[in-house]
Amino acid sequence: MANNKIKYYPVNNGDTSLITLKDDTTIQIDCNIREGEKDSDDNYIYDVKEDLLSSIQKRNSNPYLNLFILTHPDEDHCRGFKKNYYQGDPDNYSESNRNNHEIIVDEIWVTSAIFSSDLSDDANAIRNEVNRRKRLSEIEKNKKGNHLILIGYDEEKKLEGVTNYVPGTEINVIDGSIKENFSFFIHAPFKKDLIESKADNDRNSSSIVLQARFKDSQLDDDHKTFAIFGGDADHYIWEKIIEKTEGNDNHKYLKWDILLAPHHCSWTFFNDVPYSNVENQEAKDYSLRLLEEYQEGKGKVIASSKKIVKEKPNPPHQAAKDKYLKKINSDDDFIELAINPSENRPEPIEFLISNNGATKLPEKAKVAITTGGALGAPSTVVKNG
Amino acid sequence: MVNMLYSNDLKIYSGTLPLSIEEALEEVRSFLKVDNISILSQDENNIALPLKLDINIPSKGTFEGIDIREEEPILLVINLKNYPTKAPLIKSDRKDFPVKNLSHLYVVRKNNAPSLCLVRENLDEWFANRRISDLIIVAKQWFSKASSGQLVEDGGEFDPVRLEGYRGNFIYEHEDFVKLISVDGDVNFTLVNYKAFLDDGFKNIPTYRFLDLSIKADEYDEILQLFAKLNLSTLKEYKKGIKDKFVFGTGLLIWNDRGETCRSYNTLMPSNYEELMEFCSNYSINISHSLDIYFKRGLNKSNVSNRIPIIVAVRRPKKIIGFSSDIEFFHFIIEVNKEFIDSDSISPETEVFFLAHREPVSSSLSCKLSIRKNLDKTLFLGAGALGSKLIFHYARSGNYNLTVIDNDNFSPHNIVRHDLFMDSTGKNKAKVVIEKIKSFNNDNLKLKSIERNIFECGRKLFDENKWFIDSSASLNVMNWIVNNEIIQTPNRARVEVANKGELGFLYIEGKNQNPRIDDLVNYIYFLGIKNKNISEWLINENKKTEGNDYDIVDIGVGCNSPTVIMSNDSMSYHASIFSKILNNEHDRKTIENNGLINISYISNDGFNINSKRIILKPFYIFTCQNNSGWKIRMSSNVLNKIYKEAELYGVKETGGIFIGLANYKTKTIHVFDTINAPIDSKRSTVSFYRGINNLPESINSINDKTGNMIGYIGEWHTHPMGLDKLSEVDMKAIRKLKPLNDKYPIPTFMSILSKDKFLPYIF
Repeated sequence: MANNKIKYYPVNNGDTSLITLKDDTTIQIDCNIREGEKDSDDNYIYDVKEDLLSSIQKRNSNPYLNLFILTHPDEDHCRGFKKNYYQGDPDNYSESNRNNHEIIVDEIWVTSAIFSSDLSDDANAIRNEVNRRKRLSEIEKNKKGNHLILIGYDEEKKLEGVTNYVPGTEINVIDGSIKENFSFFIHAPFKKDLIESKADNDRNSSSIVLQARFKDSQLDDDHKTFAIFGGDADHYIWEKIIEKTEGNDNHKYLKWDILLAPHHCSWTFFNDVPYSNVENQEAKDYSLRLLEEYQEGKGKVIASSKKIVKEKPNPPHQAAKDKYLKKINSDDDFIELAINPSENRPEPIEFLISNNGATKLPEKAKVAITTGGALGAPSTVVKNG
Repeated sequence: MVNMLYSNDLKIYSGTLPLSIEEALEEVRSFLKVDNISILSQDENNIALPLKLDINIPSKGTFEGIDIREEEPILLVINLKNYPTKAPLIKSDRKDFPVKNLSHLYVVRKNNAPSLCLVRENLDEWFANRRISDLIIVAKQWFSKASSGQLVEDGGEFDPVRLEGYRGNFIYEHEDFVKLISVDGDVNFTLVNYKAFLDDGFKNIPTYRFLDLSIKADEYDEILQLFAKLNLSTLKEYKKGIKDKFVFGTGLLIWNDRGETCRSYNTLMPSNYEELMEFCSNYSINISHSLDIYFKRGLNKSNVSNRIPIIVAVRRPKKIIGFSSDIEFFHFIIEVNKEFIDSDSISPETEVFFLAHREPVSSSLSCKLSIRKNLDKTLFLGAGALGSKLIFHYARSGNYNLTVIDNDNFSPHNIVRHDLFMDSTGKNKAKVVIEKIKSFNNDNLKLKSIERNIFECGRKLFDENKWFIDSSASLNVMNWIVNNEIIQTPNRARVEVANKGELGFLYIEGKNQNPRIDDLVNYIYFLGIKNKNISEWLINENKKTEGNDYDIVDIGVGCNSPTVIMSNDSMSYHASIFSKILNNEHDRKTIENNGLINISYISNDGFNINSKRIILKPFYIFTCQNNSGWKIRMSSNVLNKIYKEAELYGVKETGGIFIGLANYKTKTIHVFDTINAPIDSKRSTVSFYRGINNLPESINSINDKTGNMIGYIGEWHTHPMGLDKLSEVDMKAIRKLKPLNDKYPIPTFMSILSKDKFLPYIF
């Protein structure tokens, strides 16, 4: 029997997370798939695409995700979408799309921020795909590869008629199928923030904020293990989330066993920036309470960012890391993806999710009789003398 | 301070270590990043390395609070004589390790560290394909799974205790015994009668086959009446049976009469009656009370062998894996001597040993074989399903000049595919096969069986035979033969059947072991690129390992349970073909000095069959130039191909990549093909850029078709101006490729074709 799992990819300042459920359903939250072999710091860029292809399912030989959630359309949350994910009628997926290993996305969750201006090419590609899906007939909309869900308020009614989930609701229907052991609770974006973010052209405050909820068996009375994905939401948003959730006596939706540190381990989760301003250096009470009161067991905090150092530019902020470290059981429970297991060659971290919380999956054994794959040396130009 | 570690009781080992173990130690040091590892002596044959493993445990604490820690001390036990053929064992070093709450532990003797059951089937066979660091990785996975309640991946069924070191078998149908257990009445036992064979093995490895299971008693009175009946029938049957070398007797099946369930494991098997009482009391079962009645009624006196078979039934919280009930049975013999029988009681020191349960199999085999010519002296390794058929083909065709090696005993489930019968149960396969052959001919002087592990056989045995035929299907044996220069039998062959019996492979080495057996076996994988049947098999094999979070897979009834799916008719088909070719090629009539691969195919519906031979010329063998200990074995056509390509570009450098695989156990790279430089490559008289156009696609396709067995394995380029070594630019390329190759892992293999030399380098 397969397990529920979450994998967090090292993608520098950006997010790419993959949830795999017991029934092999795959849910990706954001993508930041970079090109090239090494980054500007001479560290190897982890091949996210190769790993994704070996982690997700295939249907008729075509790789697919059940769900892709775009928390908000900033480049570091959708980089590589245009090239690596299939856009168009799923019936027209061709041999050439297959050869390019383009991933079909059965269902997309977006906010109305996808219609904001000055989007990157990748965000535009998502917007075009959203527009394609919204125009389909009711019958076509129900096909795998055409599902579209709007999260939150849609001021300009650009996605009128599209299924809409709003903050404060728990959703257990993924890609048209009811999940007995899993659900998402949607915390944000709030209506007001969506309107203001458009006016201010600050898409961070329009981020989808989710709590993923897991249980081992449908016989369990309630969900037992939780992972929070906060996009780039800042402390103002978190203040509202905590206030509203507690006010509605929904404390259970704030629990976390794994917390993806918001905005790439930015100080904005704790207070305003710049951090150098003395008045900003005190962490807000509600941010600290989320870490203290709602942490389950020995909670894990994931920093999906560059290597955290004291110097600018940031995020990530060293001060934020220090704060997290103070609130968790041990330094090992703060996972800095950029240096896991080494700075030069970072790799994803994957957790097995059970009713006992999150367990880091150990390394797998290798076979002594081996051969090289296509994406290693054969994909590399070699100069000989 | 209380001594909580087994390692504290062991002394430092002061002897010398074989090179293979020194290398293993270095690997362990490097893998665990520790400078110093104590080497302790576990016993005269084994050293024990006390190590600490970091374990990933769940964030909210361990499953049901089991005491698995973030740092677990272990003992890595390495056999001094037989490593790496014999895989190391991983034991917990903790005396307080929670053995009672964990499955996947082998049973142990008192005061011995508990050993982890890490993989399905045979650990030695698994290790033949792995490194010692992989064994440690799997041990870490074991602890991590134990801590999160994932040790049993069976959909919520109960994993029975792993038995190791049992003596003999109890044969009965699990379902029949379950029906005998009653929790309605006030009794907690019933009688079960058996038939045991009084053969040579009975003293040490007895087999009891239980019969007449209609007996069921809910009240003592009924039981007592039953005793009376049984006494009579037992004695009557005994008189009849003794002539036929078997005996009937009566044993006890006991259980907890309150129907209580128990989830705890008791891996400490009793060795005397006192420990057996304690074992039973752990499951709230009162054995002495049942035995009192047994003795009072004189049942003990009907057991002519002075042995009382005891079956203890324990009700588990979930259904037992592999069975349809929640009852797990444990099997013991109380070895009472005559004195105790007469005194009607059992002393606490009375010896007790435990046995395994085997389900009886009722199906039988039949095989009609053709007759062929007599052959020279032949050594067979393996008298298993395939081996026994081949040996009987040889024997029935009048060839009695045979030696058979096998250290395995015959089990009832072997009957499904084996050419022996139930009367061979518990006996050594090689011995019985030879006995059977002896029984149908008088000229049996040259027939010989060796009941040992092949790894313990000396050179003489291999020298004195003209042919050596390996039907063990063991990668471990293949690696051993390849690495062991004493195996100099002039003609060596290997037979195996794959893909649920659809494919059969016969390999005959070339003269002077070239092509060698591993060249041929690996070449089969290469054929997967073009042969769809082989490809389908390799893809299926590869799928078994994909998609699992952990390497420990498919835990079944027992780690040594028979699970291979293959019908006798398919096996017989392949065995017949192997036998015909081996007979025909006994004097290398067709193949001469070359090697041979024969692929036989039979579809599962039987409508499609074929048999195809491939004759392979000797391989080119190279030792790498930079003393890394690796060798390259290259199919003869590859070198011809690259010479042709080099000729085409004259003074300009050119190159390409190699297709093949690497074996870390034999430190050999096998090369079967080359792909010339892609069209985006750039050539000049001083440099060569190997491009990438279409290359990943080609390799991908090869990977896919061969289930990832065959793929990219290295690079070559020419130095037409005559530089007989790697240039600085080449070294740069190697530094670029190495981290990419380490990921798979494959060694980085770069070779130079200079004017008249092929120079391989491996890093």
